[in-house]
Amino acid sequence: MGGQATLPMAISLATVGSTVSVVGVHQARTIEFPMALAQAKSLAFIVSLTSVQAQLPALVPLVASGRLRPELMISHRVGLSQGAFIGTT
Amino acid sequence: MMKALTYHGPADIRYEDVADPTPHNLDGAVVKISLCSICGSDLHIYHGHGFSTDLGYTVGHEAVGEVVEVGSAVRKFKVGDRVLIAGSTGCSSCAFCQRGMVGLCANAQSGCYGLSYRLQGSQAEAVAVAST
Repeated sequence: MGGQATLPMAISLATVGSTVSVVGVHQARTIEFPMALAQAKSLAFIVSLTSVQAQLPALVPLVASGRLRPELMISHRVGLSQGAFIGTT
Repeated sequence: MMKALTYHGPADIRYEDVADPTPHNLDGAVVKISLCSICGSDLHIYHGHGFSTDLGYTVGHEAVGEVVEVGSAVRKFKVGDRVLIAGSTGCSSCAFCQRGMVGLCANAQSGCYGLSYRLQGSQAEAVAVAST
């Protein structure tokens, strides 16, 4: 979560004492935050960017063993020369 | 010269000639790209909500490819190695970066490919990797 619509929702849904984490890349300079509710529920709020290198030792074996199949996420493959147009298709 | 996808403004990505990459420093490298993903944050850029005001830089974050050149201080990689390039990068020498926590780089070298001219991106025939 992390948008203006989803942040208050996540705070309201979170269990007392739990952690709410922001995923994705956000560009909002400011965002309304339900401070009183978050404090009353003793929530931890984490916002950061992924340090991918720290995850690779765990992830690469999962891919190598077939437990994770990232190729299923790939919907389109195009050559570099067609890359300028993929946003329009 | 090589071919790359460059950002020139909202919905204006161009396939054009750019300069061949060279290693940024002695522990840098150049990787010939075989595949590069389109990231969610590429869509921010595409729609004109990018992360710098630069125009004309090469886009592209995560990629896989083959090492074609290494700086003289590179020890872990050699020409011909097949490698995965994470979108984010750090200094590779501080305690955080050595644990892979490049977002916490103590030398303020946290960065990402394909957001500006500082680190040209991987939607190209090759990319300069900042540090190995």
